[in-house]
Amino acid sequence: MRAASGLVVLLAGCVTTVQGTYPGDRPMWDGIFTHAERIELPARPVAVVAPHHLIDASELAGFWSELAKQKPSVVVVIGPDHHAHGAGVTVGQGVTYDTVYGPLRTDAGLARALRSPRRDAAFVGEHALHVHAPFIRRLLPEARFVPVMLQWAVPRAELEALARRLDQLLPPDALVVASVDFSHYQPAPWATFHDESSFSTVSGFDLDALFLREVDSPESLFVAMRFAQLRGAAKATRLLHTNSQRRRSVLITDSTSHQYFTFTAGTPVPRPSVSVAITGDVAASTGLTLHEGWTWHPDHDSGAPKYEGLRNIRGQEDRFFMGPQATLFGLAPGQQVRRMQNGLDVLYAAVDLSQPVPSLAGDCVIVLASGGTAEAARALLQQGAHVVVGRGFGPSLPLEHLDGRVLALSLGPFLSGEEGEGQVLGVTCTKEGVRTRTVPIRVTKGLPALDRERLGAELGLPLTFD
Amino acid sequence: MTRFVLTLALVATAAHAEDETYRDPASKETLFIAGGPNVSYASLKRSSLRPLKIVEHEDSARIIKVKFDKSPTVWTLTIDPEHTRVVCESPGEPRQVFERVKIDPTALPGTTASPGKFIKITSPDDEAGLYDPVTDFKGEVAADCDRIEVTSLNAAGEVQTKGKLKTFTAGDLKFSYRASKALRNMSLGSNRFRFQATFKDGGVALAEVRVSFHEYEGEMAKPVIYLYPLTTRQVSVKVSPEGGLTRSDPAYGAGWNVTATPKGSLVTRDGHAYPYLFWESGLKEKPAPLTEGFVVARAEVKAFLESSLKKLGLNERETADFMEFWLPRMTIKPWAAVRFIPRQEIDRAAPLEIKPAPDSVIRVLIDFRALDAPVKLAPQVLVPAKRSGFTAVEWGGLLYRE
Repeated sequence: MRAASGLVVLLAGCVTTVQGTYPGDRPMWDGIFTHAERIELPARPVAVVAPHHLIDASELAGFWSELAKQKPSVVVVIGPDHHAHGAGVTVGQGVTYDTVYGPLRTDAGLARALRSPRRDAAFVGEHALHVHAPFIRRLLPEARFVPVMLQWAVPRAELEALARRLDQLLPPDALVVASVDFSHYQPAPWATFHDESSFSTVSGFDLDALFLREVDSPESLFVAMRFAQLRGAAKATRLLHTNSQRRRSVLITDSTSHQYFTFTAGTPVPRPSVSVAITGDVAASTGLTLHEGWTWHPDHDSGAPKYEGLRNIRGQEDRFFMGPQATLFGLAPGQQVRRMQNGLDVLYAAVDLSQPVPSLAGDCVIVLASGGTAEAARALLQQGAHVVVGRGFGPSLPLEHLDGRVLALSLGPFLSGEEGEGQVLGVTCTKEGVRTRTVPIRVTKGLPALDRERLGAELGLPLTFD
Repeated sequence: MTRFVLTLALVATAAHAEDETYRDPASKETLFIAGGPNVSYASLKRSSLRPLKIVEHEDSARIIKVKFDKSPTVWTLTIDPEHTRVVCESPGEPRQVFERVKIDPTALPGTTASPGKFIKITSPDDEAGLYDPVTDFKGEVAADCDRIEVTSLNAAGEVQTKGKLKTFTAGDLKFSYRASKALRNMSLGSNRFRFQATFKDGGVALAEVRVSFHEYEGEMAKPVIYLYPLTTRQVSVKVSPEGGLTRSDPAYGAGWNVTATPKGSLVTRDGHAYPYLFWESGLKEKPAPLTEGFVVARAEVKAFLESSLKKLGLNERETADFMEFWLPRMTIKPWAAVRFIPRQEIDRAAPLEIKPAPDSVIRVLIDFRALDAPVKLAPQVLVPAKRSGFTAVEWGGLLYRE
């Protein structure tokens, strides 16, 4: 049957044997290593971030090959408990991963010292961990190994305690791996937009903000980064940035992005930036304005807008608007909102072009402009605005870039009562300029939704196999 | 020199130079003689080599008596001193003369075609990593190819599918072969594909590639739809889940249009046959906690599902497919709580439109939790379903955040 995984639990004594979802075929795994990407580490990492999708097998092989050269005596892999089969924090104590290179066994003593309830069977089927097992078994057969699963929304105090226990227990040459994927279920350009903010957050070691980014396990990321921080390794370096679309020959709108980080000795190198998703025209009657910190939570109301008209654009697990610092639907006439976001002074302003232009000062000034001409809107870029988005300028128009600033005279309809083609704009303001990503949408029966046909055409990708 | 390969143990070694292939130019039958001696036979109709039983041999194996395993007839093969021909005789049977065919010594075992009669795979490359759920193998074949047969094997060496390439017409110089999980000829991980071309002179050429299929799991709900019309006919199927379709196989487009047969084969316009239509949708909200349903001990889950699915109208094949996917997931803990989602909830969440309308539509969707200890749930009453006339069956279940 589809994706029948062949996961088996063999109970022998107190050992839970985990067989991966990939058939244990030696030629396949040898081929993965043969095609390993060449990756260079900037320095010896204390902790790293690596994905848990084998669509990145050759990158993982390259990454692990370099990590193995450091000869860590202990490897702790921390990943999400996707199926919530474990406890909040679950440490594998008697888990053995069956790999084509032989069994990879848990270091029971070290695992027990981490003091978590024993739920070894929960590791069966958890790809976030078993994906790494063949790499570790082949490249680091002598290393002591401990797998850790973290559930969504484990209290911060428990995460902090785990990071501290790891710091106390692990030898200086240990390696902690956060097995984490980033943006989920989005077309590749939008995933890249999501990743702008997570890249910045990780680089700046802003541990609180991790939980507002588009990450499949901010908990795992938090523990690995906090552990690194405790050991003075707060310099983050992103070595690779990949997306599952690149190895697919047809358009996928549910791509996953991967970012490979190392955390090495040093202090954070902040990358001040603010990412904002901006929609096309939105009627004031929707009540949708500026929304900051759009998060999804499986168990409780996250506070994200529930407006019915958004249902077709929200995407799987409500992730479309998740990740950036803010989503801008609209502002009241003349409204100005000023925020300090990720090290930047950000001004969101509604400007009536028929009136005198107010002061537009800030590191990142995002203007919704209405009531005037295209020339007047364009002129705002000379008057302090970094991003100008027109309101009420009709059908969607191409973006205009001017000296690192952007004019989107019209993003077309969104929730304005109009139908037809539009786009959603993702802007990332930095001190060097504004980067943009767009995704095409189409409004039908009042509901904006991703426009796959136009997206496929823009990316030069067919929508289906012949 | 006792190697002989009949089974599809795809040994990547070339045929031995001393192996000899003889062909009857009239009947196109082939004899393959290797040291030992070992003798195999192939006909134009059945071109895979079949081993013959050696009754006796003499004169340094220049005279070999052979028989088919289940036949009493003994055939005497006499090889001339130069090894250029074999005379085949049996009392009461016409005498046959097989002439030596030169084989490329680098060809795969089982090759009986003469040099110049080839088949090759042009894409994907051998040892390639594949990431698309559907992969089209492309290849070229020498002129006079009568047919191509393809065998796919999984990482364990088990045959996944084996059959004639229906899209190939005799005389074509190029061919294409589609592989995907839905077609059941490609599995996650390592796969091997053997292409066997049979030429009009009875010769057989072989090509094979090994590829690795990489995929990540991200499915949330996994229904599949079977169709069993009373007569073979065109059927259109549309499903409209609240969460939208995130995946489908075959490609959904504006809806599926297939030729469905009474035995359940679903053939798309491009000629590919599928056992079922697969769709997947995202869940926007975590499903409510289970308050009704069944709590079943791990050891009982299999029997429970079999009896429940039977009551709900699934046949053996559908039940086996269901079990293959769900049983391992439902038995990871000592207990499983299972709720069969009522039909009206399914219809509301994912309206299904089938034209022409089936006489009976069965939709089975489960929500389950793996548990360490049993919990109390309000009992659920399963409404038995009957299959009658044109029947459509759908099964699936909910999977959480991946």
